[in-house]
Amino acid sequence: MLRFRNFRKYLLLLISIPLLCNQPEPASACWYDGSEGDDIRFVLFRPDLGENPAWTTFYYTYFYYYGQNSFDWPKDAPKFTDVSKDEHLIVAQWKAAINSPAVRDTDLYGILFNTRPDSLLNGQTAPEKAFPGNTFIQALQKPANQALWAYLLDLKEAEKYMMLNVDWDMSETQQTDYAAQAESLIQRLSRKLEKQDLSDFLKPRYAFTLLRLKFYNTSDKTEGIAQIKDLYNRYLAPLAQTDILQVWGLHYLAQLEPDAGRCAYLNALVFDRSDSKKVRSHQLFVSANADKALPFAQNASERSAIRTLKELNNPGKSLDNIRKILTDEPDSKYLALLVGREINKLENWIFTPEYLQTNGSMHYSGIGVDYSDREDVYDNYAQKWRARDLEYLRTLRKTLQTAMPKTKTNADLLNLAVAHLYLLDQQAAAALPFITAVQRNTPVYALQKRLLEFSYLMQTANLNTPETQQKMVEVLRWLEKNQSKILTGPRTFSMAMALLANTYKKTGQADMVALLQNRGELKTFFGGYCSVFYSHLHYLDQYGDLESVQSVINRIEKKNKTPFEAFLTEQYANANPFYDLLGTMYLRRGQTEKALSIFEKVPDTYWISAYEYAYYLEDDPFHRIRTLAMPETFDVYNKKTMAARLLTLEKNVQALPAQSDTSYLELGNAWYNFSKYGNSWMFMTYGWSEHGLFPTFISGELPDVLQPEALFKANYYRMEKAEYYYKKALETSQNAELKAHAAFMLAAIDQNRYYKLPKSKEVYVGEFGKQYYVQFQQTKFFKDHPCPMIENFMQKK
Amino acid sequence: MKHPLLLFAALVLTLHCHSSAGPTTIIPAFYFWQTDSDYISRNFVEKLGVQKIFLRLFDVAWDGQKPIPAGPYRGVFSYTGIEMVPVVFITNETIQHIDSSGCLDLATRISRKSKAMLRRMESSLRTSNRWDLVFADSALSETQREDSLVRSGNAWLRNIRHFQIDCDWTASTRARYFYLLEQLQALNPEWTFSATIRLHQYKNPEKTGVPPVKSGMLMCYNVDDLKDQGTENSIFNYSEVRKYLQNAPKYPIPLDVALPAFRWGVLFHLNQFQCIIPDNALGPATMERLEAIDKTHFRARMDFTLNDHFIREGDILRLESADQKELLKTIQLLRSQSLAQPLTVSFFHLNSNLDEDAAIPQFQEILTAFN
Repeated sequence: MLRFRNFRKYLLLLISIPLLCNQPEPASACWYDGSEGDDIRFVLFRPDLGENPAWTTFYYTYFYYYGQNSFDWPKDAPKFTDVSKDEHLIVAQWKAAINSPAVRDTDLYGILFNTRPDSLLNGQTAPEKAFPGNTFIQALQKPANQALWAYLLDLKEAEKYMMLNVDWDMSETQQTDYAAQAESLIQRLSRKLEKQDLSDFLKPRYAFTLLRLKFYNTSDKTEGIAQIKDLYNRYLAPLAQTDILQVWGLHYLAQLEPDAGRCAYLNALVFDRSDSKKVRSHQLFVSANADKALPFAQNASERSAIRTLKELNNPGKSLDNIRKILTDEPDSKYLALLVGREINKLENWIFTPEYLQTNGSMHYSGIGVDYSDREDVYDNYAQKWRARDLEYLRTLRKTLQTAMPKTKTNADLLNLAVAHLYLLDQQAAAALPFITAVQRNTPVYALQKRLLEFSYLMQTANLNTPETQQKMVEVLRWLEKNQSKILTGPRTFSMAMALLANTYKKTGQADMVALLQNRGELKTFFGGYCSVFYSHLHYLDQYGDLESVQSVINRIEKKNKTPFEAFLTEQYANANPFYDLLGTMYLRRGQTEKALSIFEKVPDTYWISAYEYAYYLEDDPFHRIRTLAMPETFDVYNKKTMAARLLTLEKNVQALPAQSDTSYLELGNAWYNFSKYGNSWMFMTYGWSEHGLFPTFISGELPDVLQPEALFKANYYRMEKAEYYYKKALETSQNAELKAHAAFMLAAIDQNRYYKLPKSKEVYVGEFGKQYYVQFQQTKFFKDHPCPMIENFMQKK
Repeated sequence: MKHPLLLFAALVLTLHCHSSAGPTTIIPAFYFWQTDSDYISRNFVEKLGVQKIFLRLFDVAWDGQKPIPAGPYRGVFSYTGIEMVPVVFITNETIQHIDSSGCLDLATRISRKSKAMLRRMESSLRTSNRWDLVFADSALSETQREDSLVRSGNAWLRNIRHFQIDCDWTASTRARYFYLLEQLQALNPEWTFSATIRLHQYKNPEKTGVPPVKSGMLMCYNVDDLKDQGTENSIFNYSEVRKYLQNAPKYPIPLDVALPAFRWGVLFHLNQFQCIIPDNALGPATMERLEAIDKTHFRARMDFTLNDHFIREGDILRLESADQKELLKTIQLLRSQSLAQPLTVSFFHLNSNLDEDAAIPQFQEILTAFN
């Protein structure tokens, strides 16, 4: 994928491809297929309505679905060790056992879970010195806590022997020592466990420590499994189901379970009861074995856990199991997770293309996205998918509605879900009763309710009245301030802005769409692929016209703005980039004088710092074709000076057409350089590409929407103005050197066009190439620019 | 079959043949590439006279900072009548990231882990219930049986004489990879190292070099771009293979041959590669949800989830396997290459999804075609 920071490098490479005399390979478009991350996925229904941070990993998101390593994770995503309740429960048990209120939880947690074995074991002779001020260590030194201290040392000793890949990291001698020491420790801990003097607190702890030690160090599978099962049954099974030691014991037991159904069942139990093992038990759960696991379940809650785990692996439609859970356990805690995932899937499949004009990150439908470079095998399917997904949306909604009377704890979840599904289906009136019925007022529920009210307002009110705009500003500013940062990508505020922008799009107000998208940073979501600068112009450049760009300028420069206008334009200190775009649009229309008058409104300093102009626009386009190794000139250009020079030359050739050969040549050079083959293409467009505007690849749209398209295309792709002026130079000039230059460039244009034709592989020399070879061999220009391809071709002829 | 070894001998004799380069003895073999199964069909062993199994021990991958062992074999290879050749697959990315001291370190680690795994396997073999099915004579006393097990177990480990390294090295990694191979050989003189040779390496030895090993395994599969929907068959395609074999210079080290014996589906959504669907997920329940476009391409008739992938109506599945006729044509090309004598012909890969009734005659036909 072509990131913008690499873009410059590729660009230089592309424009350095020899202009002529090397048969060019047809360049393939750097088509951007698909998306990365949740940045470009439409998600308005909060995935965190389950209000359990341990579920974050199971939301329907790109990051967690495909995230195989830390590099894929959003930087501010919570770390699961930080949010696990398991460790807090263990800390609470220790605190009760040690019976010392002065012990701080953080000290306990730090020693138990964040202290390496060697640190504690090396410091055991003078622990209070090794861990100064640690209240847990201090309490353990009291005579009454001697047994606890001894266990802690044994625990840390055991942690030294819980390594995988010892045969990768250790020498053979070390491995032998390691195995012997582990076995010796197993024997020692087994003897301790068999003693009758262990407290009820320590007995299961020694059993669990031994169980885990055996798990990592058993060489004989069969015997090891039997011993581990025995330990579990004797010491951990009698504990309460909520005791984390039992659950953690089950975790290891599950991994040794040979029966596929029971193995899946045990993993589901661990998933259900433990936070810190949720991710691992999900990884170990084989969804194909879910049906075999169900008969082992003891109650509806366990069945719900099994069904949930199965659906967490399902990127497709999960209604069947949602329905079963609604019937079997209507108050299941997992419904928030599963219903949220299902709505997020629908938002992605149906609405990401519509609202964000892109594919979405996962299993996208492609509706609204132009695949014109592809075969049309999917054309009909895209419509089918949309219709079917909408039907599925309605079925899901009806299912949730039907289940409403049966649930107590999930009532508000279902109210939010049903209202949201109605609004997605553009049925605002039907949604209203469910919005107003929501009672729960926790932050995430309040956020979701506010979003629904906002959607309802958009669908029912006149967006252009000051009253509505005032209400919208209030909600949007509130959302911006209060949105949860649990997920970096699907930012609620941005999604609300996308929704509003899309509503304005239906009314054809391109200026409002652009301002809303920019304020919502929707286009800067593409930050990795095009510049922030261009992201603000992107929509207007593709879909806008002169009037809409002017309207944006007017709104930015307006003195007494309404709160809504102030909200939309407050990020702009001036309108310079929009003047830049407006002038460029005039240029594309051939209105050079008007373009110049627009560029003159922009200060000269703008061209030095804005966009990539310093790299791609400063060269002299009138006297230098870079690939012909022509010398650089001292002139430094920007859009304003370029337009001014262009205008002067145009006036010259109009006034004295017969005596303007040098002006014709300069104009030919300029228009050649403004084409995709030239060195100053940035005069006319914001991104070089084979297919047109670079960022249009990103959204999957070809630049056919560029208005007006024809003139721009004629020059950018086909070099028609360059051809016209070079021909005029050739016709009117008496100077053989100048004529040779013009003929050579005409041959280049001819050849560039020819090689864009399908299957144009063979050596091609057209009319102007032949003329150049026949008529201008004696010129200095010819000698300075030898062309073996033309020469070989002509000599063979 | 009471004495499968007799059958091996018979088959080997049958396959003792004469090519243009002189008499060739064919040694039938299989690759075993799974992580947790020790499935080996007796039918394959007996009817094909399989004498060697190339068993993947583990992969070496780059975790972003260092080489790590990945996907280790967790089963027990319990067939002592067959020569077992351990194989370690190393990703080219790993080689890209290490320098010469890293190579030395990696060689040490690979040797260490391989030996530990083999020792563990041997240890399990001694105590495995399966052991007496294969070896122990019921007439022996318990003590005699134990002795027999220990002796045979030790012999099993000692009998490993050959070790293979699999890596798709390139011109830019050849120096480091070859140095790694040299170090592995130096550290493990009891084993003779071989290396896999991909077709592009075979065709361009001047570019990618020749690994410093006694022999190579020419891998005649995975010949085309899997992810390109326009690819006809990425597993095997005669016209692609021919490009590499025809007019190839004589390869400087003797080569055995690996041929494909696997099948998979390649899923495309909106003309983009999505995933590989393994053979075991392509049963009747899946196939009835697809309609055939042609012999190898199928279109989803409905939306459904398969192997944790969401398949949309209209998505395309390309079913890939090696065509028997094309394989036979390729063998004619292979016979004109300078191959090892005796020649090991190894099929990739042995697994429980192979339809024995259909596969065994095909494998026999292929082995005979080297005649």
